Amino acid sequence: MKVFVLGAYPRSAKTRKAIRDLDEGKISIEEARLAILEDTSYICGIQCGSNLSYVQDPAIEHHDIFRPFVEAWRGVYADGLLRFFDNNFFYRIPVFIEEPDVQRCVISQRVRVLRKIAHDHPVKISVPGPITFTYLSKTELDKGELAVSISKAYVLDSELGDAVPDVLQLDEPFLTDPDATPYHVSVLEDCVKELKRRFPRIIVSLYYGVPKEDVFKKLIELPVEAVTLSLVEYPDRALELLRRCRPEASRTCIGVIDARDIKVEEYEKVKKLVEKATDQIGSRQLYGITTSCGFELIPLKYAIEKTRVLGRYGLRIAEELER
Amino acid sequence: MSNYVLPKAFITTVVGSYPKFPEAQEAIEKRKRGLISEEEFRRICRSAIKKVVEDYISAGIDLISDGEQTREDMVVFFVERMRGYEIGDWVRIFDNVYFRKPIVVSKVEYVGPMIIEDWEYARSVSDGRPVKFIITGPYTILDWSFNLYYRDRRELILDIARALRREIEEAVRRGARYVQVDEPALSTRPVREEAELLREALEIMLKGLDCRKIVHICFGRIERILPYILDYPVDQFDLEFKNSNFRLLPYLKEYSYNKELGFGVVDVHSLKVETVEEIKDAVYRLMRLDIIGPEKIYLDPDCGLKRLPREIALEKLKNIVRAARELRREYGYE
Repeated sequence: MKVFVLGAYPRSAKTRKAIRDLDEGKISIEEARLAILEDTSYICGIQCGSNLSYVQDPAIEHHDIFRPFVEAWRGVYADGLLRFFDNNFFYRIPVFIEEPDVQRCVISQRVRVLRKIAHDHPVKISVPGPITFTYLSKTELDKGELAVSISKAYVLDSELGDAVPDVLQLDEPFLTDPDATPYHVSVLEDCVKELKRRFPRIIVSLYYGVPKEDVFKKLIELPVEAVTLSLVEYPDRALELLRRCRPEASRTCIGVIDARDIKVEEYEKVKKLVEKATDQIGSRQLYGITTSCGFELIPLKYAIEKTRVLGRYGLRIAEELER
Repeated sequence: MSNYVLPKAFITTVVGSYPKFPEAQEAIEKRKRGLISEEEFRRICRSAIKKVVEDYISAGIDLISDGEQTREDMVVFFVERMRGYEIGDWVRIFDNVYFRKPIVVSKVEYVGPMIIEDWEYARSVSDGRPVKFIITGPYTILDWSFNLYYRDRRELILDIARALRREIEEAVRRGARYVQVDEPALSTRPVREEAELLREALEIMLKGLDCRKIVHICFGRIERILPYILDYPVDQFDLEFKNSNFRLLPYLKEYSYNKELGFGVVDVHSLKVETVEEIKDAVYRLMRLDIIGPEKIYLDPDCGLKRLPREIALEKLKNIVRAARELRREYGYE
């Protein structure tokens, strides 16, 4: 059973200040990068020390999940702010005026940094899923075609930078939205085909909500390593979805640690959630346990505490499932 | 104090916040570090509130606010002044901008006046223009805090509502005629259960008060929450339209909207100043729906202006006022 964190981490006070100072021209970019690297090293160290299966890129320097790509590609720019799903957090809306043209590598650059820090630990990079990227952007382009071209840009990034993560995670919170339909998953299927040319192991992560049944049924047919589903926000609905769909083709990873709340879960509560999920899908189909989403919306000290909790609980649950 | 007469139609207003003047920002920082007392803090902020009011008056806004100059942010300001909260660590709002997300650690209770002094001061320098009494709502305070005390969200939101009721009651007693409850968080979970939760809280907060009651909601899938909130005990919904390209308009028709409407016609997240024609076009689109008349339409920005540079904010307001004047003439109100 895999145990890993789903997404980004918050910045330390030192890094927040460094980025502010950089914006105000008080320090050089190298000095700001040093603060970012310190955070990255510290967080990756905590993940390794917590025996997590993958070292998740903490994405410290990224202002939102889209921005690094928006800044590294030609054909798209960042516009005004918009609320990111149900959070008190806003992203800058990407505006695609043409298909993305990779000018600078993001994924491969992240992989290189993490490999240096994490040594032999498998590295996981999360990127905006092409559907979420497309549907949270503004564009006059055909959205299906844009999603595929975003996938091609990810492939090109990895090829140009000559680095591949052990796992590429496609963040697709849009697919939990009531507006998402099986059509969107069929576009994602085309995207996955493109991505598989370069990234052998892909996880599709769903968070902030529970997808509709027809969407999830199609998602679990995708040729990916796993699909993640959060059991935190709406546990009854998520468990009912698992009961009705009983994933077989894809393995399911369940989010059991609330990454948007500072309250630390009790072990028994987490264990019960896992048991309820395995009652529905069987323990063989359980790919692993993870957080409900990234940790970026809680303070760093709680993110660290919850990373350790996830690691400890993961070990215990894996042992108990084996028994 | 002169007696300002509000226009009969297309009243212009603001949602609340205005770009912070440097003295207010500095005072907030000093107060946070314990370098000045609450009294000194308020005294310094008065000059900022006065400048905000002067800008509103120079733009020609009819129904104004104190610009929320004393508020570090819309949640922290209130919870710092209520019992039951600890101020937490920094959590990101966007880019490298953070707020200190509060933590509920004991029963939430009212302590004493929070924004009444600012509102009264704004009113004293408003040259007779009415000043909205604007307070962050219980759902948003609930949602934008961590909770380590209450087992039940309903218990928590109702306690927050009871505390806020005391503040509003006092403001109304002192003459507040327009009370606005800001609930930007509501649109993030647009489901019936959440709307019902806020309804119960609003009834506690607003029942029986003699004032015009407004709820402001912005940024999110407002169309999904709309059918569940239309019978809230309020006179007006103040809603964001421009940022979402007026996506909400057809739903007003679909759900037979008939309350007063705060119609957000300029985008507070864009530096581009909307032209008078753009603003008027938005109003024409609303009027074509034939659901409410000009008397029920209040023109304002989508949300607070605090993130904009002052000169942009002011230009946006001026164009709202110009558009409103032309519209009044066109619709026979001047």
